[in-house]
Amino acid sequence: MRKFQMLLFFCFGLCGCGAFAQTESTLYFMNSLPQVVDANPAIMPRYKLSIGLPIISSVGAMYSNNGFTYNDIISKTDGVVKADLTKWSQSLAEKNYVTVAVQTDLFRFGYRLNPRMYLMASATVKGYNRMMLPKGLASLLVDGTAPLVGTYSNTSPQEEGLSYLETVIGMAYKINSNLTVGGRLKYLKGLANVTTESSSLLIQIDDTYKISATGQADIRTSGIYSLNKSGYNASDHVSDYLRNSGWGLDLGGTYKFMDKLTVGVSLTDIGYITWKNDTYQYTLDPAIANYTFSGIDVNKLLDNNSGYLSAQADSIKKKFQMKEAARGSYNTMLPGKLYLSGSYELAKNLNIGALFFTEKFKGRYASGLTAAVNKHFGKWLSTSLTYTVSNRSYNNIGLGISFNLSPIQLYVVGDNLLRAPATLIANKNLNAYINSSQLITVRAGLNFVFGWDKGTSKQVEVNDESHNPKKKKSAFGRTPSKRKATRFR
Amino acid sequence: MLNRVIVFVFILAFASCIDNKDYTLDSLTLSPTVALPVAFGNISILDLITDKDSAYLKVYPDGLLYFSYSQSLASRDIRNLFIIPTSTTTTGFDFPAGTLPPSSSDVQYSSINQLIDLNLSPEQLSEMLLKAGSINYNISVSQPTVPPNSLPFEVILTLTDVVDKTTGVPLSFSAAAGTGSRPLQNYIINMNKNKFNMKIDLILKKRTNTVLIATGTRVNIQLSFGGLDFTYIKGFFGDQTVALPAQAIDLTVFSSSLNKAKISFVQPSVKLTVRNDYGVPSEVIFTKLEARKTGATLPLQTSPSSPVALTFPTVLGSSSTTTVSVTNAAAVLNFSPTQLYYSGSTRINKGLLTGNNFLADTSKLNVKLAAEVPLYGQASGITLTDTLKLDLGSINQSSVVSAALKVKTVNEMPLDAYIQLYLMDENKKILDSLFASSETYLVKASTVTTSGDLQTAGSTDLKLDLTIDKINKLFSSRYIIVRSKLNTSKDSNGTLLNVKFKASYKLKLDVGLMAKLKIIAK
Repeated sequence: MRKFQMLLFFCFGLCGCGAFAQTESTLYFMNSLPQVVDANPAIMPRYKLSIGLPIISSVGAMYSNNGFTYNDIISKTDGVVKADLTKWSQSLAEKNYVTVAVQTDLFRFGYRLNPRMYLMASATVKGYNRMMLPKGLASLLVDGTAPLVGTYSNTSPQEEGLSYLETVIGMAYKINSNLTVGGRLKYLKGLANVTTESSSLLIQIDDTYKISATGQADIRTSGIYSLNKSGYNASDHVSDYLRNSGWGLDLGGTYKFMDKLTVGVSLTDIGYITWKNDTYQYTLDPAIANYTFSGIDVNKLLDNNSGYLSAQADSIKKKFQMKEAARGSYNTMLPGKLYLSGSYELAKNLNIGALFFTEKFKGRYASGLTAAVNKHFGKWLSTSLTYTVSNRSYNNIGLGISFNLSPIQLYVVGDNLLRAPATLIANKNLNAYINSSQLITVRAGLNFVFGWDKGTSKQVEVNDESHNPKKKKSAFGRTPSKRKATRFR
Repeated sequence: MLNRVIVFVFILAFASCIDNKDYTLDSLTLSPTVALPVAFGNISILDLITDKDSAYLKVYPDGLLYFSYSQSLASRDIRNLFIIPTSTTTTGFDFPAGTLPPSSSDVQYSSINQLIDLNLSPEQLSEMLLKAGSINYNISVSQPTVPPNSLPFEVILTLTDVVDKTTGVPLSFSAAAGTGSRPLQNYIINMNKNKFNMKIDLILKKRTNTVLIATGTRVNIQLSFGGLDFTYIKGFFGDQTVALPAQAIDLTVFSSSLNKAKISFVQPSVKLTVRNDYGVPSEVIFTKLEARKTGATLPLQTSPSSPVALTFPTVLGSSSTTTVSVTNAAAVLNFSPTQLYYSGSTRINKGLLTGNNFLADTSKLNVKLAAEVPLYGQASGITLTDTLKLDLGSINQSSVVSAALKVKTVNEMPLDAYIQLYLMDENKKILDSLFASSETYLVKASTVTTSGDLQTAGSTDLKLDLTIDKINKLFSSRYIIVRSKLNTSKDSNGTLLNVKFKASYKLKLDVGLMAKLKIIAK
């Protein structure tokens, strides 16, 4: 019970603390935003200088569910809302990952030192929580045990959650006119963690309906156990929470194959955290956590053993009680991401692009494909329209808008965002949007930006003078009339 | 703080765009089909018989089960025939009238050899070891002497046939005038047809005076043997008969589990075992020896038939056993008696005039009834009934859409079982039976070899659908009667076969329930 309380706490606690980690495909195409480096550190933002202040610079949230939508649970007839769990069960994937993530910038700084080099630094609080509900387990609860007669279900519910503070320094460097590389080094301070090292629940039902269950689990936590202790105040133990440290790396590159075709690749959040604070381990040993319920033992009945059933209940409870023990430090990896992109400039400030992205975390690859159209309307408005297929969902029309009112830049970007206003207009509420969504990402904020790079495929268009008149011409293609110069993104 | 404010504002903005109607559920529907195990067991014949009966169930080395029942019958103790009466003997020494001069030494005056008779009949004992009893004496002088008390004397009693059991020394003691006694415990009396010898010597003690003896002066000696009880006796005990009290012995062990059953045992054995400690030729005459049950009796036929001559030991302290077999044991057992009744008598030394008999005070004639009934045979109509309390009140009846019982058995026992469950209300009035009559053959007997051993286990794998009507009645029931009707294996023609029940034979039983539910929460 205590474990579940902790998991719940962790799940909701992360949502409340404003941290974030996610795969954002629309953001990848929003090079007007300094946050684009989160997706690929080799992409140079269009502004020469950008500054993000705490909280307001970037607040984001992500909900991802590869299994079902709310519409898969309910049906609505004449205003009567009915939940049909059988219908829900049928819609599930074999493994249903429900991911909730939040993040906010504490600080962000980006500066183009010269046309070849872009420096960046940031501090971000991130959190990530992923719960995996196996279809087998859900089906067992909803559809009953009958479907398993003569067979078995090996389910392995998992819970992963981590929150951490990420401090980043990085650089993008243009090696030549075609190739740009970037990297970011991250120093990580873990706040809290729960990780499922392994888990399984094997349920077998034989042809006489005997139910055999074997459980196995190895769950580790950091920074959670003590929260349940009476009188414990986390704010009094800040230094303890800072004992968890780690390193991370983002790497990226872009290559211009042709005049208008640019491909990109990036690996982000390649890193780990060593958890040392308040580390506990919760285990279930399959040699102990196993039981076969065969019904009432007739022999016991014949022996008038009336206490038999209650003794069995006590035995089951004891067998499946998790063993809780303090443990030493342990490592967890970050949810690493891979982006492969291609972008083609149809016209000046009008690009189309495609992106393949995947997230690897604890053995699971979560992939998706995005098609995008980007348009910069002068320097004032940058937009991106995307379509994403991910999480077994196909109705994700993403939108990114940034109002570049230098020195202020307001933006909102999300992968399944466009249907929201459409739904709101049509229905006067967001219900239809929410009920049918398996993926929602949204990031919004306000940056302070300076020095717009106009950019063109034909010419050098880094006309910083308009925003930064003190700097006239750089040595590297800053003269608008100079042809075949490289546009930096 | 700012962080929380922003989140709060975001949530408020988001919430304002949501119509809560979609998220207020009017009902939640769940339609699981649950398959649950209900009961299981690995049941042997030991589990099926009553606790009372199981105490008598034993196993032969080959695993065959059998009832082994024995009960000691009350036995008549023939030792009580031999009570030694008190026997009294009077004798004395006469003195002629005159004077006796002084004497400087003790002088034996006279001796008497006396034959003591214990006055037993018809016993003719030759030896008896006493554990109690005494010889009592009273010695007196019939006339006073002059001067008075001037003739000192003593009497020496020598019981030459009464010897110390340890030393073999005859009992001898002296006594002056007056009364007294000597214990005889641990003395052996050697007798000839109840008689033994005793020598009485009169000793005149030294005296300093002349003593005047009056006419008719006599020293009177009265002896009695009283309170004699023996450790053993030997001799000839005579031709005697002792009645055996009528007795009825409980035999419900053979009927409680098999009540109203028609059974036939192949190799039952019923016998009477008589252990005889008496070294006496004896015979038992049964005037009645019969099995009884309500309204019927069945005489037991024995071998040897009544009167039954008993063997007897030839050495004191040993015993001899006589076995009397009941030749119609199968009929007796199949009769399912509740009682064994007998009455009769025991006769010793029938027609004999002499003999060397013996008995000890601890000797017994133990009669034990022993029945050994191998569970080898055939039976039909065995009925087992049990009533269980039922309370399904915690389950919502309306949520059960359909249900079916799964019954799977693998039966090594040569026993068919037709099982029916009767549903009863709180007044124990039967509402219905759970299964259709064609569905009650739940346990199929194993097939057997010609010798009755297990050939192939019988197996069933049944799915018994329960109609809604039955389910409704099940839910309204408060008691359930489980009634099983059993019979042993049959051949293909339906004829009962002789079968064996062995300890290793098991009935593996698994019962499951599959129920389709529709749960609607509002």
